[in-house]
Amino acid sequence: MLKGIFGSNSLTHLIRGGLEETSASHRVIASRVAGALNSSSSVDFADTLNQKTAASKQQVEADLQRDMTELADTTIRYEADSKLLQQAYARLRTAISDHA
Amino acid sequence: MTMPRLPGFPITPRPVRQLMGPLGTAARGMSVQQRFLEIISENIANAETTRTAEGGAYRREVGVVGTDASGQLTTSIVQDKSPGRLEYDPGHPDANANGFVEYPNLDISSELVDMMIVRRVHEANASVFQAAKSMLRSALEI
Repeated sequence: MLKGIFGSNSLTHLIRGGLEETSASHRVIASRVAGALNSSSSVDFADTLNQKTAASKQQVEADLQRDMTELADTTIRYEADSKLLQQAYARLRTAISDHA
Repeated sequence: MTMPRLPGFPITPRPVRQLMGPLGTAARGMSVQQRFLEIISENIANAETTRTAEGGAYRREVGVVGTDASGQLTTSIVQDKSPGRLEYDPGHPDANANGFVEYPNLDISSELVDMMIVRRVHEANASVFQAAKSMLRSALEI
């Protein structure tokens, strides 16, 4: 019976999976925003800078606007998941305390 | 009397660092932006410097982001070697034989624009940090 409550097909397990997926997305967004700028200058001045930043320019340019939208989305999803998990555990606690 | 040993069960350690990961990443991003701001402010402060210890006018500096062997963000400074603007001022102590003074190769307007960009990215990193904090808080409420 406990397997049905906490097992891999249970509601709590599904919500936990959602939480982990959302926090993984958040880690990716955080690293994209942290590396949003390759250099402190928006003006290309010489070959020196181009040589220095050649490798990093190949990386995907961070689109801050898209990242911040995704961040808001991720935060709300995480909070919704955690609230759902909180309620699922509260229901379980109620069931346990009523039948004790 | 000895207590019977309970059967063991597999424990899969969940690194706390992974949970705190976005906080550290956003903090590193903010420190990179702070370094950029220092470089830009140094450029602005030296906008009229015509004499340096190395000789000649001040050269504009640009911060460049890289990653070290462990994948952490690092910053390095690259000097812009392009020639500065020349102004005719024979009375200036740093004027050359033809009466021209070489000023730093930087434009204040561009530096201010760069500063605004850096500030916005710093704010974005701060937002990521705040979001990570609120997510951690809601996780602790479960």
